Amino acid sequence: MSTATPVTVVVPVYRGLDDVRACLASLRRHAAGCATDHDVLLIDDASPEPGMAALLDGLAGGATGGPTVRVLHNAQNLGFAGTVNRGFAESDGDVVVLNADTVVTAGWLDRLAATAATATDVATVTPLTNAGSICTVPRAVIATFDLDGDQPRIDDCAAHVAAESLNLRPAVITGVGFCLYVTRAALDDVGPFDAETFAAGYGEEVDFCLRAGARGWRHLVDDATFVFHRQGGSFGAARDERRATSAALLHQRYPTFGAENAAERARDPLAVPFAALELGLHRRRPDRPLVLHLLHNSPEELGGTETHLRTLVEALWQEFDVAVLHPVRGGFVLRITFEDRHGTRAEQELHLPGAPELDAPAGTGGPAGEEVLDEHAAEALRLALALEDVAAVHLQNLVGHSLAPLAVLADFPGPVVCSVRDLYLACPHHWLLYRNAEPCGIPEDRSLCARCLPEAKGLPVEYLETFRDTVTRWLDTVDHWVFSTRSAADYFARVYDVPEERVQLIPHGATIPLGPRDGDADLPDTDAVLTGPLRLAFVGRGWAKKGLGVVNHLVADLATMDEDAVDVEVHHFGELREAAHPDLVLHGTYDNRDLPGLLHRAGMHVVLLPGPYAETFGHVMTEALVAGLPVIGAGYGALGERIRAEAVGWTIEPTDADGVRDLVVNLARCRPEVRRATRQARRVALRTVAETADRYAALYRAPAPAGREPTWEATT
Amino acid sequence: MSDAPQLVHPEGWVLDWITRDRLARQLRRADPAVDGIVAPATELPAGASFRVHAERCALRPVDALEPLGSATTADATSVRGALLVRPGVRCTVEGDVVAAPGAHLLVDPGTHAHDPWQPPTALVDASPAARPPFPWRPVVAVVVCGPDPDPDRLDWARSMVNALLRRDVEGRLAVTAAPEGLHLTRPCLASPASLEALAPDVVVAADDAAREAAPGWCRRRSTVVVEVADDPLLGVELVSWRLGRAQGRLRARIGERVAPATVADLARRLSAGPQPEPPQPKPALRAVAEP
Repeated sequence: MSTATPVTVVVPVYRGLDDVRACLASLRRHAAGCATDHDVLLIDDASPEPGMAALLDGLAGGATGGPTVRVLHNAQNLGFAGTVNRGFAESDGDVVVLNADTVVTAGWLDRLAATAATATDVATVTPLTNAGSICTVPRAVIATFDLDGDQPRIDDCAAHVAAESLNLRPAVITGVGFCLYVTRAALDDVGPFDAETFAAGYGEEVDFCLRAGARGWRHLVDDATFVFHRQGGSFGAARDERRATSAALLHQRYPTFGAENAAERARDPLAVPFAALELGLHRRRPDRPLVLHLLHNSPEELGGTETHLRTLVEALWQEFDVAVLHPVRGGFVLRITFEDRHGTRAEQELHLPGAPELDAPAGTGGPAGEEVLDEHAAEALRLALALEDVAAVHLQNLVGHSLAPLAVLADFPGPVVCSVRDLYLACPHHWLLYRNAEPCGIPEDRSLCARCLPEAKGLPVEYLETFRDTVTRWLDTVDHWVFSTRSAADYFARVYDVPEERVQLIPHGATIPLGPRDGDADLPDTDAVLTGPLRLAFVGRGWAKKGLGVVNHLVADLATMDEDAVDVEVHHFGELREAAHPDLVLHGTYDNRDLPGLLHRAGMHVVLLPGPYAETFGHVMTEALVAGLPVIGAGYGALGERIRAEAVGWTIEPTDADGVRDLVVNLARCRPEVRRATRQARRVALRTVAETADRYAALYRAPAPAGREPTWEATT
Repeated sequence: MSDAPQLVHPEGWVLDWITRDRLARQLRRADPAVDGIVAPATELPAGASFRVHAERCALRPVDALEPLGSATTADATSVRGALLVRPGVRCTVEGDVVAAPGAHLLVDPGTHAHDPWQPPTALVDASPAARPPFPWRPVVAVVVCGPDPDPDRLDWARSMVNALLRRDVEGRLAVTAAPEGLHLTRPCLASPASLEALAPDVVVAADDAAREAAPGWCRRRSTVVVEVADDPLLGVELVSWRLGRAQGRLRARIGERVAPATVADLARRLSAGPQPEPPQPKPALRAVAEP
C-alpha cells in the first residue's frame, strides 16, 4: 500500500528505555516488507532517564531497507498529548500514534493504511492488541501465545490474527491510543489532541475520536493486525490515577459518552472477529463435515425439539461436527462442538451480536413490530457461515430467527434441511387455533385470519400475507422438508407447493428411554383395566390450548353420573395454568423421562390428549406408548394419523366436549376395548432418535438437488 | 376332544372380536349349570356396520343375560345367532339356526352375530347409532344416489364398503337402491339426513348424482369428498387443497379398479386433515372456579 504522502509513525518517548529499543527494533524489522511509504518520528519528551537522548540520537537517520528515522527532543516535558501534537505538526500525511511500549508485527502498517483507505470518512484505525481496551484479544488468545508471560509469542499471535481474521473492520465509537492510525483529512478537519485538558495523558485520543465522531468521522478496528502492548511503560503505577482523572474529564465534556460506551460494550462489535480468533485456536478436523442447526432455544432446554437435537447429535457424532445457532436476549449464540485434530471433543460458544435493546429474541416480538426478515438474525447466520466451513444446514425451529435464514441460505452450496416441527411457517399463530379455540384448518377465507391474528398474536392480517409471500419466495432454499407425519406435510401443503421429492417423512424417535415393552413382566397386567375405576391421565400443560376446558367439562359431567355405572377418575400430570375442576386429581409437573413410571405408579389406563390444535407429531403420545398406554386424541393432525395407523387409542373432536364425554363413558362401560388398545400400545414398534439418525445423515450428505420446480400434484 | 369352549354359528356369519371376547368372558363367569351363551342375530341400525353394532351392544352391562326369548326361532335350545358352548355340549346348525338340544343357554344382548347374507331391508335414513362408539377407524360413506343407479356401480359400492370394513375402515353404504349380495353393513338411504347421522370423515361420491349432491349434504366441517372418476383405470389422483386452488371438500379422485387397500390408506390420510371448511365456533364450555 502506498499513499501519496508518507505516513509518519510518531513515537512519543518518556522513560522505558528497553521498551523503546524493542519498539524501534520491531519497526525496523517489519519495514522491509512494508509497501506503505513511511517514516518514523521519535520525540523525546524530556525523558529523565540517563542515556535516553543518546540512544534516540543514535537511531536517527536511515537504515538499509528501513524507514527514515527522525528524532526530536522536547525542551521541556509536554506530556503525551502535547508531544503527539508536535508530531502531527511535524508531519504532512497520515500519522500513526504509536506508544513506545508496543511491538509492531508483520504487515501492520500496510493493513492499517488499507483499512484507513476503505472509505473517505475514516478518521482512525486501531489494531488488535493484548492490552488495549475494547481491542484486547480474547483471554484464550492471550494465554495461547503467552502474551502475559516473559516470552510472549508476538509474531505467532500476529500470524494467527492475520490468518483467522474475517477482515470485518468493525466500527467503534473511539479508537485506542496505544497504536492509532489517524488520517490527515480527519486531523485537518478535527484538529489535534486537546493537550491542555489532557496534559497528563490518557483520554486525549478518546476526546479526539468523539470530536471527530461528532463531525461525521468514523473509527475502525483493523481486526487482521495485532500490535503487542506492554502497557504502563511510561506512566507506571500512576496509570490508574491518570486514567480516573481523564475519565472524569471525558464524562464531564461528553455526558452521553458513558451510555454510548456501555451500549457498545453490550453490542460488542469485536465479538465476531474475536470469535474467529478463538475458533482458529482449535482447528476442526478437515475430514469431518459440520452441520449447522438453527434452533429457537438453547440446546440445553428440556423441550422436545432440544432433546431430539441433543440425541441426534450424539447419534451422528461419529461422522459430523455440529454447530447450533440460537437467539438469546441481545443477539445470538453459536455453539460449535467438534473433534479437533487430536481426536479430542471440543466445544466453543460464541456470542454473535444482535440488538441489545430487544426485549425478546428477534422474530418473536409478537406485536406489530415483528420482523419477517430480521436483519440481526440474517447477520448472525451470515457470520456463523463465515466463521466455519459448514457442510449442511438444518433448520430445526425458526422462531426467533424470523424468515431471514431462508433468504440467507438461498445460495448456500450444501443441503438445507428444514424440520417442520410446528406449523409456524404456515401461520405465525402456529397453534392454528382460530381465536385460540377452534382448529382453523388454515382457512381459505382470510377474513377469519383478520379476526384471529390480531387477537391471538397482535398481528394484522397483512403480516400473514407478507409472511407467506416471503416463505413462498424462498421456498426453494430448503432442499429437504422433513415432516414427522404425513398429516403435517399435508397441512403444510395447504399453504405451500413443496415438490413431493423434497418431502421427507421421518417419524420422531422417542427422546426418553423405551423402558419395558410388550411381554415384559414389569408392565402391569392388561387385565387390570377390566375392573375398578378407569383412570385417565390428562398429560401436559393445563390450559385451554391443551384441552383443559374439555377436561373440566368431562370431570363435571362424570361427577353427576352414578359411580357404579360409570367409574372414571381423571388425573392431570403437568403444570396447571388455568382453573381446574376440583375433582381433577393433580400430580404436578414432571420430567418427561419419568412420565411412564409416574403413569404406572398412579395406575393410569388411558392418556387423554384433548388439545384442539393439529399436532405435527405428538411427543407425549410417544411417551404414552412407551408407558404402554393407549391415547385419546384429536382425529386430525398427527395424533389422528398415528392413532389410526397403529390402532392405539381413539379419536375425538376436541371441541365436541359431549362427544369426548360419551367416548369416555363408553370406554368405562366396555373395558375389553380399553384392553385391546392397551395391548396394541404395547405391541407398537417404537424407535429411538438414534434409530432415525441415519435418515438425517443421508440428507446431510446429499448434494442440493438441482431441480427446484414445484411438482406438488402427486399420487399416493 | 378339545377342552376349550366351542363357537358355533351358521356358515358365513361373522362375529366381531368384541362379541367373541364377551361370549368367552360370560361363559367363564356363568353358573356351571349354564351350558352356553348366545350371541343373537339382531338387526343393525340403518347405516351401521356389524362391528359398530357389536361394539354398541357391548356397552350393555355384563350381568344383563337373558333366557332365550325374543331371539329364539324354535324352542328354548335353538337360536338364530351364534353360540359359545362348554366343551362336550352337542350343537347342530341348520340353515341360520343353531341348536343345542337339552342345553341350558342364556342370551347376552351385549353381543351380536351377523348374517351378511340377510337381504337388505327397506332403505331408511341412517341412525346415529351407526356412528362408532369407540371411534378410531375412519368412517367412509360410499354414496350412490342417482334415481336409476347403475347396478354395477351399486355392486362396486357394496363390495368396496365390505373391503374397507376388513381393512379397519368403517365403510358405510348410502344408496337409493340396495344391491343384493354379502353385506357387512346395513345400507341406508342416500340422503342429507343419513350423512348428517353418519358424520363421515370421507364421502366417496360414486355416481354423477352423488358427485353433485354429496358435498352439499355434508354438515361436518372436516368431511372430505372423493369422487369415483369415469376413468376406471385411474388409481388415486389427489386434488390439491392448496389455498386458492382447493375445490371445496373435494380431495381426490379414484378409479373403479383401485384397490380397497389404497382407498383405505387414502381415507386414513384425508381423515387427518386439514379441514376443508372453516371453523364454526361452538358455545363456550362451562367455566370452573379458581382452584
